[in-house]
Amino acid sequence: MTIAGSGHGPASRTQLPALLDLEAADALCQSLREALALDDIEFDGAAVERVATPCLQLLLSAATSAAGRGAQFRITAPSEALCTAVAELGLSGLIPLER
Amino acid sequence: MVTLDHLRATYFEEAAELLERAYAELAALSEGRAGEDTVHALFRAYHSIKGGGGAFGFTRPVGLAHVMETLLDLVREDRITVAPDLLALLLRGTDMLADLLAAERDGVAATPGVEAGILDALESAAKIDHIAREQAAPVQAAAAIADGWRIEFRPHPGLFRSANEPLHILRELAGLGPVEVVADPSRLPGINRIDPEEAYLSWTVTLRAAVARAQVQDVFEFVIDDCDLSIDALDDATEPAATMAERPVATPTAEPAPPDIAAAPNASPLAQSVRVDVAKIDRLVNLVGELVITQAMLAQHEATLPPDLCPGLTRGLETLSQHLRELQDGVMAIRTQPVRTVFSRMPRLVREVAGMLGKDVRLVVTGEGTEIDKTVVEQLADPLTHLLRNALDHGIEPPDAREALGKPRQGIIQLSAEQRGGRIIIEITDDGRGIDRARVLARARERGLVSAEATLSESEIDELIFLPGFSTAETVSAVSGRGVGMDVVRRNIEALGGRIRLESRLGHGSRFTLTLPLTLAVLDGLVVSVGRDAYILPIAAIVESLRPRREDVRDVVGHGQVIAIRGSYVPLVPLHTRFGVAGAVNDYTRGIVVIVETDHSGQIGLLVDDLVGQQQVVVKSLEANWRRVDGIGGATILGDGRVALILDVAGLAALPAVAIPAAPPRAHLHLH
Repeated sequence: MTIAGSGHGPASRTQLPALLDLEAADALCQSLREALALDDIEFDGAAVERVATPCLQLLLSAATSAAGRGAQFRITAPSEALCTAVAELGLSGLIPLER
Repeated sequence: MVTLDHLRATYFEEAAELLERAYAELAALSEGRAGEDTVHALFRAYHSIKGGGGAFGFTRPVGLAHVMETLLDLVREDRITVAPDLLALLLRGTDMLADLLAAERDGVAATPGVEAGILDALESAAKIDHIAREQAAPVQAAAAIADGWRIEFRPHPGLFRSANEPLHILRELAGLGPVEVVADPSRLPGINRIDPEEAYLSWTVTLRAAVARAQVQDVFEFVIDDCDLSIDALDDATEPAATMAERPVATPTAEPAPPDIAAAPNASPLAQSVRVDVAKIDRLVNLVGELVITQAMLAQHEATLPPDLCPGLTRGLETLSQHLRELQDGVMAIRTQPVRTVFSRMPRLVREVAGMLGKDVRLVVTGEGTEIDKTVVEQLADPLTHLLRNALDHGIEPPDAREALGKPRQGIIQLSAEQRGGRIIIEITDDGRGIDRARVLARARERGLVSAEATLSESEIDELIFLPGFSTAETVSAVSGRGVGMDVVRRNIEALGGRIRLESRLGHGSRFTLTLPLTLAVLDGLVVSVGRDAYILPIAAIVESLRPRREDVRDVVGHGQVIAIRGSYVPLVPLHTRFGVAGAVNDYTRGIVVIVETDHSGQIGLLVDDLVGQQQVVVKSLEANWRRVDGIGGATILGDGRVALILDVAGLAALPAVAIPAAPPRAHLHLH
């Protein structure tokens, strides 16, 4: 999986892929680790079409890790699929979605 | 590529194992050996048969399994006690389930409504106790309806790997009514320590809908083994904090799991076993066999080298030989299976046949954990079935006759397995009427199998029942007479490299003893030379070897020569006369006599030219590659590339002498 970065700066903005299923979890985890090692992070969630629990778990873990380091973690423009899955899993208050 | 057919085949294999498990647990219950997990295991067996069968649309077995599972659920909740009549009902239900599954597997439609009777009986058994105890435990009932449910769902770490998705489960719960879902991320590690494929989150779901507990349980049907779950009626959970702390998380409707079970390897996310195609294992076995042959070849070359020429090579070869031995043991162990897989079919056979014959029989099974080569296990089913049918039909007397004889009305048949040395011993013992030797002899004379003048010892008379043509129309019945005689049983056992022996006492019963090799693939053998040929003698059969003095050997009229060993006489069998080998040592004072033990002819002394050495040989089947030869158990390839025949010691004793070719350039085998 490649997560497209859109520039260098204090906050990197990357796009989440369309498929966030179990097969995508490994690559997402790797990307999250790399992204968080750099700086604040902002995700664009507009392209997400399908979501599974393993990937949401990773996003929550990354959000918590970022908060622990005082870094910022945001998901902007989340797609309908992403919002629904986050709500259904009872993670609404835990994964920061900015509509 | 996994096809639907492949999945179906896997399902039927698993279903067969689950049925075996169910029979074993039912046996444990009936013999009072039930442990804490017995009923749970039984429940899981029916549950898994149902779950898998549903995916293939096997509605009839699924329907039956569902009713049995429901009944077991009531037993789990202590709402039904396991009485003998309930056990009998469960056994009948399991038998029927096996039949319905077999019909699905074979693509044959089971007789319509054949299971109706048993379904009614199971349902009414569930209902009677249901009504009787409903008052006592209304909330726990699977059918109980509450205003709402509080569900604690805590996935095991491996949940995702078994292709389960909490989102689907939570969606399904939301389909039952309004839900509040609260996630618990307390187990979630930081991003640098997380395993992306493990499940860390757990959930508390409050479902506000008047639905039955069973409906909530059904949502978790396929994740039951991959999570901890508790389902409590909302009005029950007035003090959630206290409830949480006090109540261990349990599987649905189950009693709280005891701590040792909760901590058992069950909780591990990794599967404890892997299903492997037998063809793959056999390929491995064959390859190891080839390695053994190559190693023997290397060892032979190494022996010809001066000892200090290359000490590193010598040491290396020794280590290789040790490792190879371990590798071989390891690979062979993969092929072994507990005899349980075939023993577990026998209680049903005994139940049904005893019922048909109006006899009261208890089957006592022991040693079912004994492991033996898979091929042997599979081929044991027919001989064992036949021997048990015989014991039921001809051995055990009807209850009234037994009583008149001062025996208990209920007959006992014991089926046991144990490992002794390199062999597996299986015994079938009954306390019935035993063999009437006078009748056996009379019948054998009638059939012309024994001449009128011959005097036979007791054990020789017992041997008669194994003769082809002994089983007559007189003994054929619906039960044991299926055109298969004891001669076929003996042939089947001998084809497996085994032996069968009978002991009997008139009026007290009979015992059949089957002696089988642990594995068919490799044996420890002694290489002997006869003329220009090499033969292998199985080490297990060898008693001693010696060079007799002239005065030790006597001629016995009509019996050839015997050799005197410490006061007893052993028949002398010059091997070259049995296989027509030219150029072999004919003078026993110049050759070697190997004394071997046979199962039914006692000891015999085989005259060979010389002993070449002891080695492990890989058994190649002669029958599979060519045809059966009397006196030969198989063939192998020696280190020098020569083919050597493996002797079947028991068969040799009965083998007549053949003419020896005058002076052929190459000795060869005469076949019978």
